[in-house]
Amino acid sequence: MDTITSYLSSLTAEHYFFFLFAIVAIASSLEVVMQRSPLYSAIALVFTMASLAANFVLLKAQFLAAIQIIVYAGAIIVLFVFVIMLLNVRAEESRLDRFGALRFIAVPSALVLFLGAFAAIRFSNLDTLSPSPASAAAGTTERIAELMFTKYLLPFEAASVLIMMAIVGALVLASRARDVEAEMAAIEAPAESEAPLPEPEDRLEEVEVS
Amino acid sequence: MTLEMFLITAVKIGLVLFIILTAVAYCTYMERRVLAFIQVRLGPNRVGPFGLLQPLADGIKFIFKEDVIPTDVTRFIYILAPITALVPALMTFAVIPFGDRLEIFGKDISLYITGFNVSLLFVFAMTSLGVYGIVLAGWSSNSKYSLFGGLRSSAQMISYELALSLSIIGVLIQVGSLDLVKIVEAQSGWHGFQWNVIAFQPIGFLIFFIAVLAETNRVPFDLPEAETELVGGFHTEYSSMKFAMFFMAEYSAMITASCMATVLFFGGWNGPGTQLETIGPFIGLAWFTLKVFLFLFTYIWIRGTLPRFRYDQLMDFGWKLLLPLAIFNIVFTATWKFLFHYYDLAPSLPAWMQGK
Repeated sequence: MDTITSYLSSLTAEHYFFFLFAIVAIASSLEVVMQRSPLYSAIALVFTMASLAANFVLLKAQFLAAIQIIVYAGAIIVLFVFVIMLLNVRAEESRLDRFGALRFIAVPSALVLFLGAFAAIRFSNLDTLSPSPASAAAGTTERIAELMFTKYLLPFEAASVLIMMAIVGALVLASRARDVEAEMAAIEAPAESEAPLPEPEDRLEEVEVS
Repeated sequence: MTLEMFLITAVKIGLVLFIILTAVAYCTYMERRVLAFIQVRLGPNRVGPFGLLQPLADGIKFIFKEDVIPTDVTRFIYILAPITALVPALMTFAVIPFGDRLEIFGKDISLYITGFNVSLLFVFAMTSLGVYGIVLAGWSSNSKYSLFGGLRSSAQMISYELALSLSIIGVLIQVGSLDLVKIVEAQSGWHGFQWNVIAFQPIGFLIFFIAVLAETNRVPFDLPEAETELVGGFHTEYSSMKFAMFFMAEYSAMITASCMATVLFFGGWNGPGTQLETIGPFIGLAWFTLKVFLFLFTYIWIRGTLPRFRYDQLMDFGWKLLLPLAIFNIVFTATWKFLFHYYDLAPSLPAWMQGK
């Protein structure tokens, strides 16, 4: 009991906000996978991103937080919503049976993932939520830029090439099925209809009016 | 955080919200009067002197109108949408620097609510969230007009957000900071006229202003609410205060955009006379207000002058003209900055350019 009280009294406002946003993040990401309606899933994903961004701010990574909102919430999920609206996807029926075999792999693989993340946090020397003077500048734009353009230049460029490949691939897939020249010719000179248009009197139909 | 700081911040938040919401109300009045003037009409001039109480009358009307919720809407999202539109639009004002520091009753008070090292990105993050209000309203209304309005607006806002973000990178290269206060302070030279729009970012400003017109769904980019095709666009099914919230969101986005144009390209509170004792900060505040007002006027002027784009023209313009131009501006500014530092050209500038 004493340990709990001493722990609670050691908490600062930052801790409370961290737990608040962490709970929101977990709850909304659960909602993302459990919702049947794709639009509600997308909205829940926005909440996940926003609360993650808030926790980034608490961890002194303001740049990352802003980018998180701009890129994920402001662009990518808007595209998701755009596609959902364009295809007018309605709530799906139960699709669990389609993934019958996968269901049994899901729990162990989630466990492995959780253990891996736990080990990574436990055995690394991250001093989260205890901002020391050294880590105070860790998340600033200058520090990230410095690392990105010196130490991690090659991975950064490799990632850009990877994204470029995805774009080129998408373009190829989108343009392969279409014969553009034939389509343009069809638009410019519409094929003459073989059958002559019916005479006006043939198109009319006598209807009994009672 | 002491109690005093808390109180000062609370007062500042209240004051800014009050001023912004009043400005939003009077923006509608200004828009109607200026449009009327352009079209050789009188506009609203019955309520109060020169019709100055018209926004008040409109507000009362909005509150007392019946709030109709159509039966087949997705109720939760339908109610959420106007809130999602208004909240991010108002949150941007938390970081916009309206003026310099001010001394009141012996206390040093900054004329902005808060500022941190990525406040520019914060504004962009909030404005990029504004699209959800429109999209969700379009989807949840269960009406084809609303759906098309929402679809158009999401495609348009994503397309122009790219050009918008790239247009300010020139400014960032010049100033070297994402902090709005520092960006304004960097423009204080040349007797208060070293504005980024003059000092080498005119292309950036042009792209910024056009992209911002598209982001705020204003004429000539107001396809999401093109009334000849889509009735009212995304807000067709909304009434009463919910409709008013979309209206307020649009006008506060306009004010945000004008403030950002002022801060990034037109020197913020800088101008002649701001260096003076005691009244200096007030003159700065007056400069800021004047610049924002001129931008708002330009918005309305453009609405009274230009016809609407066709949808394919809109997309072509954004992707094929604005985006390459913005990239050219970045390359140009970066090259110029590199040469400037590499050959150390600063001493060879004329004296009036060097002096603060």
